Amino acid sequence: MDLNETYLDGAHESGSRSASNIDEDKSRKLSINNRTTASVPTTSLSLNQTIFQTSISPSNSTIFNPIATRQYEGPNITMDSTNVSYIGSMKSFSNLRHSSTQRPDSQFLDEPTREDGIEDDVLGGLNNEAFDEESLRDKLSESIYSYDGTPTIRTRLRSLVSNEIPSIFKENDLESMQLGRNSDLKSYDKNFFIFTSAGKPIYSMDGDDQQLTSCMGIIHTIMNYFQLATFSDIKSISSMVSGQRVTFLDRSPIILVGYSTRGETHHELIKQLDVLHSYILSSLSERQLSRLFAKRDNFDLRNFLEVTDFENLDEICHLLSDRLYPDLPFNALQCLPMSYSTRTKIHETMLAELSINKTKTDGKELLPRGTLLYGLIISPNNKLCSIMRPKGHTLHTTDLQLLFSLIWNQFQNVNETQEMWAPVCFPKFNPNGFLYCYIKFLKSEPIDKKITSRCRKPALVLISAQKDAFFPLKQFSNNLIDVLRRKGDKSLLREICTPGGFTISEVGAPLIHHFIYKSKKHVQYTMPELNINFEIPDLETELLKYEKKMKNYYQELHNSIFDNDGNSFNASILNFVNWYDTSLEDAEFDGFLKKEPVKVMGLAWLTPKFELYLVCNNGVSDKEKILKSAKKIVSWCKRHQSRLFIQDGAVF
Amino acid sequence: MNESPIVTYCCDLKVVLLGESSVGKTSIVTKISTGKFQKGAATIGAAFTTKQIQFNEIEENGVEQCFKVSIEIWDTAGQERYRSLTPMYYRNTDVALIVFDLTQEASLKKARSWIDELKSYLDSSSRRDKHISMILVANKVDLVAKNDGTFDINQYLENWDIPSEYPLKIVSAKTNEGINELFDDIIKKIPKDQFVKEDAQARRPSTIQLNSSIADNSTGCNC
Repeated sequence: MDLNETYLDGAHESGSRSASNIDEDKSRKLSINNRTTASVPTTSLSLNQTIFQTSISPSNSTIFNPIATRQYEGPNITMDSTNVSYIGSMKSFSNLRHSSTQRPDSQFLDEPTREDGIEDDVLGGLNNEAFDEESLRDKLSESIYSYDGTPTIRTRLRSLVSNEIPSIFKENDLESMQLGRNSDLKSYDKNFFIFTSAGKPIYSMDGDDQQLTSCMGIIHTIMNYFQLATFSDIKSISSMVSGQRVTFLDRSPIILVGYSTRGETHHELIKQLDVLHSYILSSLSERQLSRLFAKRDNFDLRNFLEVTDFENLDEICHLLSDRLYPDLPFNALQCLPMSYSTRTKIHETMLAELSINKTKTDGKELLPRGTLLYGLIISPNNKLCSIMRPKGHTLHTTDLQLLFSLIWNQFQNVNETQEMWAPVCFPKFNPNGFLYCYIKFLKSEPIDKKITSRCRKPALVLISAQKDAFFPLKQFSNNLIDVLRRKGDKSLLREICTPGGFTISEVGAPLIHHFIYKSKKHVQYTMPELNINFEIPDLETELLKYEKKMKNYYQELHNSIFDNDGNSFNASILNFVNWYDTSLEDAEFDGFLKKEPVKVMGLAWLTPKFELYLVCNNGVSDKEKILKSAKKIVSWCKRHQSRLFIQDGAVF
Repeated sequence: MNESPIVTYCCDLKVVLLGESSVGKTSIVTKISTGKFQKGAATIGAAFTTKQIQFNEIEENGVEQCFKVSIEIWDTAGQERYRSLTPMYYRNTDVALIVFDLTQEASLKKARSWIDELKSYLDSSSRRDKHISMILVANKVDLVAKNDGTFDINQYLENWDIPSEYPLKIVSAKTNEGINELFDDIIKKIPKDQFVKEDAQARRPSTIQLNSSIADNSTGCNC
């Protein structure tokens, strides 16, 4: 029995369903049903040429619900004939999503957008003058602000029309979260629990021990019940009404549970849990773990893990839940944008240095074959700069993600004079053994003091399978860094230390606020630098808020084309998503200006070669223009792919 | 009076810090290498730091001599699970600093176990020079000392059963108390015959050092 929830079972007629209907007796309890097999909309479309349009009302209990959508089979995906085709043969579908809001009327609008970009149905209460104001704002925002990346202009005109992306998602503001550190488990909108198969707690993201123990007891009982009843594991329980989801991952002797009300799919939560599990393996290795539990089932792993492990788990949980971290949901890595010739030079230098160090002098090899397994240069913010690898071997993205987070969390205080030697298990490479990482932070003369003070330093990582290879690797690293410093017009080392990146305005895609482009061939993604004014006070909090907001947008975009199990609905999809907030319609003038209404449009575009997710500036609703910009982004990324992505690396 | 040229002598010194986790090994290293005190995260694996210290001495005949010591410090993780890695760190070591925490008497017990382990390593290893100078370092004195000057460390440690055969240094990485003295002491104790003239060393190609370390590795067990 596959216990993936689907509580909106069968094909409900959307019109006949009222809010009260939903609220009936199902509202409080978690519902578990057998999953129907229809995981993909039955209307199979040649989606290369089709525009899906989705309208979500985010105002109330906005839990974006892919499962609910999935149930709208054939007849419910109403082809909207009034929605004029924009491009040739393209058709527009109105794929309605809703949750149990108290305003059912506004959810079932068949006509969310009219061609002129005025959403009169949505903005129902407004009179004609307001329309004019709206369209004026639309035009303004579409014309002026699309290219605007400079903080000065933004600050000056912010009050009128801004290119800031409004937040439409339920916000748990940071202060209350920090205050609530010790409060009720129920008050967290997301939590991770790790415990042993015997039911002993190992870790929880939030919550105190006492509550945890009883909570884990319940979880343990639930899991055991399902194992007894059907000989199959429980995967996920969710409630459509409250938007809660509890996902289970049984990796005996460890059990991981994720709880979220943030609308992640089952698949996403499982991936997040897998990262946490991989972290524990990277610290202990599978062999050691099973050895510990082989002796005693009720072993308390907390006594074996160290403070650093809990700190790292905290950091990883924070990264997964609050930061814009596309690496995991998109299964890809981000690279430091760098000119093709520079990167090639770095790779050539690496290879040359490697062959020099392999040559025998006095009958002894300096770096015997097999000593070096992988070599990486890692730039801050989890960007890969270059890679040295043996032919036919690559490192799994999860392993690299763990390595990155280890380096940036653990070695923050390490200065450039120090070299680290750390055993790390790479669970996807070999869960039973350790590899040894030589880590050295790189430094070049600062070009711009302001930038370097904010940015962390890049790191050179050399990975070996031999635990006493430190000194050969240290020598190799010294030689390599020395050559990198001397070589190149501007010194390659300086290029490495220069924070690369591009802004959205470089791409020349009007109306687009931010995008993520993933090249499937390279298993890498790229995105513009975050569009945030770094001069503002309290940058950290603002940045966190911003990242969380963007994370939500991208999560919903991603989930609009991938189902609950992480399969895309089709090989090629072009899907527009429209977010709007009706609660601001009749908002009072606060102070002297009315709040800008929230009308954000996003696009998810999936093809066999690439994935593109973009979020437009607020108020932009012209799909034709958005698509044009999207095409510009795609061709820009293709044109610059040698700069944005690492093609091969230094293969030896 | 002619100024005689200063002759410079160089020497490498390998130091390893051992001890239970969170007794302040990394803080001591950070203090000596950067002069700053920071409470850091626990060390994972080990950190390798080099620090140059030089001092001048005037001999009886009036010739000034400059001694440069490059200290290579292995700052190891105190955590139990990294214990299997430690033989690599005390291979070729000249000085072992065994650190314990004055506020945690249990850390002294760990320090004793480190001493035992070093001893058994020396007995079993094929090192030519079967000697590592071990120094006991009692860190965090600032946390136990009173400000009024009445604090007597001997009285404090009366019942602590400190192994008397090794020198004991009382330090505080936070206030810098005893840190410089500790390293000065280590340097002064280096036999003068270990120093080589600087130009002589400079002529040595860098590769030889590496060879020597590989050669040493091959003689030891590769565990």
